[in-house]
Amino acid sequence: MSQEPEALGGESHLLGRAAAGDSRAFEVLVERHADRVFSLALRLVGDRSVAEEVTQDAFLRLSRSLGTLRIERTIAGWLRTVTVNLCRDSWRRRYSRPAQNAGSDLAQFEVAARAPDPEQRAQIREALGMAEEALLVLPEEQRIAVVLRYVWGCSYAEIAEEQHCSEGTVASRLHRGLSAFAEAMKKKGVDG
Amino acid sequence: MTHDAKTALQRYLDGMLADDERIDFERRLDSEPALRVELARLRAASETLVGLEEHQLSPSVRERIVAAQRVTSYRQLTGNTLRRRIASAAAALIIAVAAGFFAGRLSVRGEMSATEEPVGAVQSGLVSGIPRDPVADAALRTRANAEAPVFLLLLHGPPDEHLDGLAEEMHEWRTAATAAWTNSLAATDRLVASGELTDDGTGLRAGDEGGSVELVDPAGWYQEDWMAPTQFFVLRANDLAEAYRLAGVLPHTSLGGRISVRQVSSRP
Repeated sequence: MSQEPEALGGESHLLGRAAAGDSRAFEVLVERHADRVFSLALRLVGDRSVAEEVTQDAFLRLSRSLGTLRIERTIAGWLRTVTVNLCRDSWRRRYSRPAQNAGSDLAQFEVAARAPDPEQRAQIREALGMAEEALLVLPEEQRIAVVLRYVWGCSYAEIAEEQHCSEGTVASRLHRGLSAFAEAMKKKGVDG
Repeated sequence: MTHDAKTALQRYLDGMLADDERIDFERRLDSEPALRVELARLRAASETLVGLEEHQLSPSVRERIVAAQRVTSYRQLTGNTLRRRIASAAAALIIAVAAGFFAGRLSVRGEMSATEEPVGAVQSGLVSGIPRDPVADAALRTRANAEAPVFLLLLHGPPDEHLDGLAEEMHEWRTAATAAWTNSLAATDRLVASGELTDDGTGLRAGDEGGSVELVDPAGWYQEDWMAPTQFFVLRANDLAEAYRLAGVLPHTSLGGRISVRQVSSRP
């Protein structure tokens, strides 16, 4: 009854068909990208239900933008940017703190340093592996840089664009983030 | 270690140094054991992260995403239809005024009614509420042969947990799209009967003693992967394939429900 993803062609073709109201084309886009978007969100926010909301919102934005979307990079790149921004929004809502010194790693560290309560920690353990739990100790912008680089496979230039900073700042955030991650893993009794 | 040294180490790890910078850095590595230890530590950390596997998004969330897209698509399409109708009515009015001016008489009322859909036709605004399947769409615009086979569509579910989490606009879409589908069936003489099934009632089964029949609660008959029936439609379609396609565009399946399609035998 339905066409298989291969028969539906490339992503720009899929976008065109989805924009014309072909729900199956949109489903194929969801099939291709949903797990990756969800994994990115889950590693950034550390909470399965929030990550699911972020994933839904990211695709809902894609759906609303279908008619006007001009994807100069790739759909994956577009979804990545939207997902990271939605995760930032969720952090802001979660901590209900005015964005003072926005962009400063120090301010972000203060937010990230708030320890989750025992119930949250249990939920995090259930949803994530040890390495992913260790990622959550990183300040948010460092976590974004590290996840985008080593999990999503972004270049320095792409991370710099995502974080509105220079590639030098990206290198610095990556170093501090990776170092903190290694330390957290060591505390858990795992090297690396 | 200085900030610059840390940055250089990171860029070396990620293969971001230019050739001459890399050669210089490797000389430093040869002469600084502590730097080699730090590099090994960071490399192990990065390899752990690179090796992480993707998480799977649950099927129910995927279904919600697809259903939400259908809401958006429905709204856009019905919005477009409304705009087209306003535009065509405005165009008809202009034509009528112009025609009336030249003919010396105005007949706005007559021109306006000429823009309306023919009686009995399936309006495109209704059909646009249904997920697009060109073949099903065409079938929903074609009057059924009175001799066409009859099929029973038995709708199971959707599960409560799917409906509980739905946004209000998705409930609206589900109701509107199902009504559009039903209206289309009725307008093309395809709908024989339809109805919703209440939760009340029991089932019958042969008793353990043999020969007797006992009443039982049928809820237990439906396992987790096969939900209780909630609604039915009896419709005419040319064949089983067409019945499948007509059933497939109902919003029911996008929300996690299932539909049994069975041909009603013509034998007495």
